[in-house]
Amino acid sequence: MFFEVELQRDVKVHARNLDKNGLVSQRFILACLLDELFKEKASEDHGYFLAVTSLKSIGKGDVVDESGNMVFNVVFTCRTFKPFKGEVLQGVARYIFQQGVFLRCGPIRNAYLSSLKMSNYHYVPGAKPAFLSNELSKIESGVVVCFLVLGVRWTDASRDFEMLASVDADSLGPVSLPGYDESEW
Amino acid sequence: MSDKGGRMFTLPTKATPKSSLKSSAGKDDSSAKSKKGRKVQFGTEGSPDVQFNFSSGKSDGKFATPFGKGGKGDKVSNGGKAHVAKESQALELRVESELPENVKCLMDCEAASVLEGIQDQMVVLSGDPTIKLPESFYSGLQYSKGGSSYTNPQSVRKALQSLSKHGVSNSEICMIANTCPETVEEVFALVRSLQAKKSRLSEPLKDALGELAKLKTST
Repeated sequence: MFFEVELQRDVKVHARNLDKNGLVSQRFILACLLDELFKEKASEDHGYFLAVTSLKSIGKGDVVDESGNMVFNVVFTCRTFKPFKGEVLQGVARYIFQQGVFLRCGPIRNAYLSSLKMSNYHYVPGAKPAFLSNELSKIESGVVVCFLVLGVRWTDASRDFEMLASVDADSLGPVSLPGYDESEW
Repeated sequence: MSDKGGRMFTLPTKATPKSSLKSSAGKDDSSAKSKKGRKVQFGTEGSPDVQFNFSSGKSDGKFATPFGKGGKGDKVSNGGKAHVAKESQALELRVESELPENVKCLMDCEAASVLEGIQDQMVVLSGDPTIKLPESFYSGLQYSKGGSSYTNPQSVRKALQSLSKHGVSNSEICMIANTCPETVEEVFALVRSLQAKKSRLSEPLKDALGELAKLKTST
């Protein structure tokens, strides 16, 4: 699910970036903020940072230490994406194995759909493995799948979310999104 | 891995480690976050905790999962209906209770409209090498555009906002819009937390879905 979040960050600016009047431009502070968000990528509480949507305030610079760093407290709003247990999302099937399917969903690279949570589907091995249902709907690589989020896990090391998925309910399973190229996910 | 029973997916409970960046949404995040472990159980009872673990890309085709080795799954359950009811309660959407303050849920179409606006500015922004967009921006934008099939996000919000006076939360409204349901039964199947209010929501939902159908883009 997408969110609009109000955040604050302390942006460090070195004194060498001040101009002759001892001022630093708002654009420069914003560029530093974007750089830090780029490195941070995501947080466990708010999800993946997609874009800064508005700048609310920039505080007065405080000198941190003798190294010449100044800190500006910046308050801004940001669009984020975070998965939740119980949510219905769409993902693209990436890897098909006998035990299940790995899906990619937006910024989330690993959503695992176990074969045990696809009770109407059976595995069809071959050059292009797939899961086929009794109603002949197919989950193969590149197919968009509507799934229920059974669980979400945050990984500190890679700063990523991972999800456990299920299609064992009505209205879940492969879908076709007209005019959409799944490979862009 | 257990051969039978006990498939637990335990979510980590450790606090977020401190970084040089202070993140605060008007309130200390760690205090707002629940410290309780959360478990999703979809097997038989009496199981030890098994950590959900998988590796992507480098395995031999074997993935350590808490589901055992291709068993009958949760069909072989001694709990029967009680277990299914407990599982469906655990899978209900509880976004509002888990979110920090100063956070607002958005529909995919609302997110898409703002992200597309930023993308339109990319021609100007890309000229400045100091401006960096988060790497999730493009995948987030594609996801929001892919699932969104409405002409006007404001009209979608207006069509569904009437449900809030019947006790539907903002996150549930967003889920309804994101899943593009065609029937009331589909809504109750996908947004399980609404099933408890089925009797009084059926009519308002029917009206809201009728309005939504007019706002869908032609396929």
